[in-house]
Amino acid sequence: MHLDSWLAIGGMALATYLTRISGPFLVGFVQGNERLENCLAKLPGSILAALLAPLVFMSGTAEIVGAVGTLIVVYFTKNMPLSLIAGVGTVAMLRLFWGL
Amino acid sequence: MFRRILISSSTNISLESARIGVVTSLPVALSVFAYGLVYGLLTKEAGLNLMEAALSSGVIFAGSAQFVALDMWIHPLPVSALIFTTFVVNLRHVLMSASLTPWLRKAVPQVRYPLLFFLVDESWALTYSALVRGKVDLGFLLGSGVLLWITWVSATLSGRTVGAVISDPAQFGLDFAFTAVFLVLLFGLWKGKEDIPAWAIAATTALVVHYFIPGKWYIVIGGLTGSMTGLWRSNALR
Repeated sequence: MHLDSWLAIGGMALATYLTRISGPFLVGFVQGNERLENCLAKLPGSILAALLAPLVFMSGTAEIVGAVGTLIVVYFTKNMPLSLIAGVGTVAMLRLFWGL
Repeated sequence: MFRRILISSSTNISLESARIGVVTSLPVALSVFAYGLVYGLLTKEAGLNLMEAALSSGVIFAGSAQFVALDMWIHPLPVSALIFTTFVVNLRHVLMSASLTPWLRKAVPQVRYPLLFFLVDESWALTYSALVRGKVDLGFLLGSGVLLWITWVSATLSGRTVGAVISDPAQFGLDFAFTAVFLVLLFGLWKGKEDIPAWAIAATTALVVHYFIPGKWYIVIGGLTGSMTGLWRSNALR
């Protein structure tokens, strides 16, 4: 293994780990501030919504239909594996048969 | 060593929660495996040797950053560019670990810091959703994270040595598994109409940022913008 490979992989690992542990430190700075703590409470849902938006709305028709299918199944069953199968199955079918 | 850690902090990291974390994460792990195979295969094309491929998945353990790095893998490696790009792509983890703070605070440092190594998008989302329901402790993150780590590393090795059985997971809709998991988890976080502004603003901002800025900035900026609605709400209360 080249020296630059060691440096790159080690550095990348360290950089990644740094992002993983730094959240609680930053929260320490806003502690006690009621308004910022309200923001913190909104954070998880916002991250998920932000993460999902392009996946659902900017991928294609199959993904939009698949998302609707997933939501319908989770609404009625509250079951994650079932909802996953429904979503993945819908998307796979749409791609296979309609080339969406 | 693991035994000692588990025992020394039995109050906030239990084996039972770890077991639930493993079981709950199994469906996601299938998709992670499919993408790990693809990553392993691509490491060969990018010219990484077996050791480099294994190490990258084992110690970096961040799929999207690893895929991005493959495009830059030309010797002599642009080491600082690789590190910086990885940092930027993974900035979203800062927000994710921030959201786990209330639970992480209760864990002693020698548990908290090793545990956070296992925080990836999927393990975070699954863990947060389980924690807010109050039925599990941080052991969930250990179970979920270790399962995904083992899956990711073994898939990388299989893809690198055997080749990917599935060269295009999207053909089977497996890329959508991640979308579906996040949808189910967001559905579970729904508390009522008061969630709409934050989520709508986060999603809209993310779409705009995703369109104009490459990389994963849309998650960071969208997430932060959505959470800003917290300011507005506390004003309304006063």
